[in-house]
Amino acid sequence: MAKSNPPFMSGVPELLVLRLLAQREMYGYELVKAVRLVTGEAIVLGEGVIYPVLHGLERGGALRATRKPVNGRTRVYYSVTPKGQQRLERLSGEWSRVSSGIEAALGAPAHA
Amino acid sequence: MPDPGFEQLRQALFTRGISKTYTDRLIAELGEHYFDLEADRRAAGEAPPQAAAAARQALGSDTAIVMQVLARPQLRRWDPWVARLIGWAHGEAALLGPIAAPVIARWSASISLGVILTVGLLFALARAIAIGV
Repeated sequence: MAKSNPPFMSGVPELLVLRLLAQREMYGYELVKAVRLVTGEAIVLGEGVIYPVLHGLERGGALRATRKPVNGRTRVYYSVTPKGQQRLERLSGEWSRVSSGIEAALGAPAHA
Repeated sequence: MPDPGFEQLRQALFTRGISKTYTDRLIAELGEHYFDLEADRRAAGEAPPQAAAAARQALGSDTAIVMQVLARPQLRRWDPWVARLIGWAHGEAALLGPIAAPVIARWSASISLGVILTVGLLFALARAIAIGV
């Protein structure tokens, strides 16, 4: 049975998607493989779940979708818009603040 | 391309108010993803039935996909402004309902009584005319 992510991981898929797509445009399957690679498989997504995340970001104006014919098939490539870049910066900042706080709490001596 | 069996997912999205246009797009992209997964597994030496089953499993459960769609109101059938309008109307009704309930009840009772009396009088008048009083 596949591992699942804990509930506090809510919002992480969006952050990862924006971060990876800010580097270059990708289609869904490529993106899932990239998430697996860059996180060392620490982040496990049901692969189909990536599409509502992508479509939600697209509707919100953070991503742009472009259809391209590849070997007789149509692939949908996603890229980050300026609005998505701003969102990435905000989410990255929030994540850094939260992770610093958690690291500090974990490193602090436990109270009796 | 083997059938990845998305009919249940399509039905689940439809019954939860997701538009056909969006469902078609989602399923088209899931189908492409499935095709890639299955092809990679076959290229790695898996037998076609095993590759197909593993590809479908890797996509995740229909429930998980539906939950992700429903978690994003912008993917639902209605435009965001319609959803906001409905939400606002619902909120106003919830807020004003308890205050307005006695007034609505009194008006409903008065109108019902008026209708009953009018129908009764018309019926009596018609009977009187019929028997020639």
